[in-house]
Amino acid sequence: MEIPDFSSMKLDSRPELIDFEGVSMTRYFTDNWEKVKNFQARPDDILIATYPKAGTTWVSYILDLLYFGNESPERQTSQPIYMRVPFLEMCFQGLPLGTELADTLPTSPRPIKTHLPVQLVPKSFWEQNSKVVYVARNAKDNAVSYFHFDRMNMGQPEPGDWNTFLQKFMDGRNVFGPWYDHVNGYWKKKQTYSNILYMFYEDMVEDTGREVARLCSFLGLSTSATERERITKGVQFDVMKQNKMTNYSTLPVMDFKISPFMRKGKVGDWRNHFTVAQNEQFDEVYKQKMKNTTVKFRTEI
Amino acid sequence: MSQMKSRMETAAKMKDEDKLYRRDGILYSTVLSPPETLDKLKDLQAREDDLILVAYPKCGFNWMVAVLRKIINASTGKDEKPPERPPLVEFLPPTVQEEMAQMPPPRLLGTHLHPDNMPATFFTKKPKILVVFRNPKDTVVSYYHFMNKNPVLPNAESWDKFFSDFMTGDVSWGSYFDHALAWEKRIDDPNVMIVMYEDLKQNLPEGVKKISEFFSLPLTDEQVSSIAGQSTFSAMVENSQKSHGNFGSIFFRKGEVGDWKNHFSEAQSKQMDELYHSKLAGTKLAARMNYDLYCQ
Repeated sequence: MEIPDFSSMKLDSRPELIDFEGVSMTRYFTDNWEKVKNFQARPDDILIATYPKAGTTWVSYILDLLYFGNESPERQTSQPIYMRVPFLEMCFQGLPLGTELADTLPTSPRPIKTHLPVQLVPKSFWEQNSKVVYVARNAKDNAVSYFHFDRMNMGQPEPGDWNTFLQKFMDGRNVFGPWYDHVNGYWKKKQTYSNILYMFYEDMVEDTGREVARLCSFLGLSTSATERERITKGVQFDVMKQNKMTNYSTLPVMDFKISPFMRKGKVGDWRNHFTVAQNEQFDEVYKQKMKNTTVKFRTEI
Repeated sequence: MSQMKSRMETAAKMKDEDKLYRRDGILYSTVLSPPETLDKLKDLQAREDDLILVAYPKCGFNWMVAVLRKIINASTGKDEKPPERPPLVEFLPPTVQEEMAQMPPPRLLGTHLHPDNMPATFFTKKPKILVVFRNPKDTVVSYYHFMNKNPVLPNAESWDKFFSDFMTGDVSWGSYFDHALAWEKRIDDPNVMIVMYEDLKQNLPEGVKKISEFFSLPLTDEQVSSIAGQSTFSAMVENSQKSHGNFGSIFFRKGEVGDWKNHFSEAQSKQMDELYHSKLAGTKLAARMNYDLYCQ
């Protein structure tokens, strides 16, 4: 199978933020809303849900290797990750719709990616009792990563400078809404919906093997220790960063000269971006926004 | 000012990489402190009645120059206009250094030089030396902005680069920490008084009083409060057009305590804390500096 050619994909200009059902979005994620909303999930679907830049591609690749690494190894070299794990709400001119990609996935189970906050996830996933893997990343590193992503991705609104972006992040004026609501929404859902595995990016960095084992256990996979070890090696940040099929270098909307899609993958890089004053302000806002939740994050490991 | 202006114009035409040169491992301004000036400086004869002001760059030197001039005028009953040039001895061309011998007392001499590189007579003749220090975090921020506004100095490439140069001491006049350690050795010298920028900001009248007493320049309480009132940072900025001409905006920026928080990343803050503690922890100077109050 040929690597898909999306060189014709053109964006006229960066999109504007719009208010969509109380959440900041852009038209690239709402123009196909009817189909997204009415998407038909299956009981064996695996929905990978994250706030942007929290480890989506990482978990997507782990899942892809766990299920299809052995039975169809050619996928690993012929198809970029965004074709193997469709981005459900994606609606870019020149790219197949996320819903279409998901509907035509030949694999079972179907790994599907979303950044939608919990209240916008198509009902069908809950009704079908599909498995949901949620990955959360600490707000400070998430903000830094999102900033660099917005700088290089022409499909995202103009981020401005770091200080401007950080103020917007604290106010929740980002595509897919406030980080706080996102991580709290899925955490709360976990109390009533047992088929969610809530993972932390920091845990994955600290011990990838352990987290792969947790995933296997949640998915009911009896993967051998040797196989898990092989997968763990294959999904190390630097390996994925060099891999054309996982590093998004085949998408023309991303300008790698500004910043690579996979930048550092570290925990604690926020310390190199936040000024002390910004950090103090951020901590104040964070305390307010997170005062009614039990979810706890680590900003360093 | 005209002499200074022509030097600034000379510097403005120079390439950034030519604006500094290295002497005994320390960077100096090519235009303001050429080798012949520093060579000649070794012979400068201090007098016992000189008033000497020392500060690492951006620790409040220009502020204290203005305060000292007001103290001198009030105490001696004179109303002298400040001389054209700043009283930094390392900026005085050899001919001017020679003319210094004819200057009537009290002479106000200033320097940013490390004590080991000052004229020997600054110590042998036992003049009174006032040293101003400022917390290193605000100092480096002020220095960074100064580099970018002062045509005599090269532009700082970026905050991160300048910060790392400051940490290694690779900036004009050398390492802040080397300066601090050198003055720590002289902290008990009765002819040396070390004052903190932050203390002066907090209570300028008390600072003015202590300084005038140290230099044996008696002032009345009214004079103290009048000088302090005219010497607040905002008053200095307002007056800077008169006192420093077009250079006012170069020398006086914010004058705040704590502006470092808007520049330092958390990582840089931690790095500075570690360096500060490794160099100065347990020293008398550190106790005076109140680092934990101003730098945390």
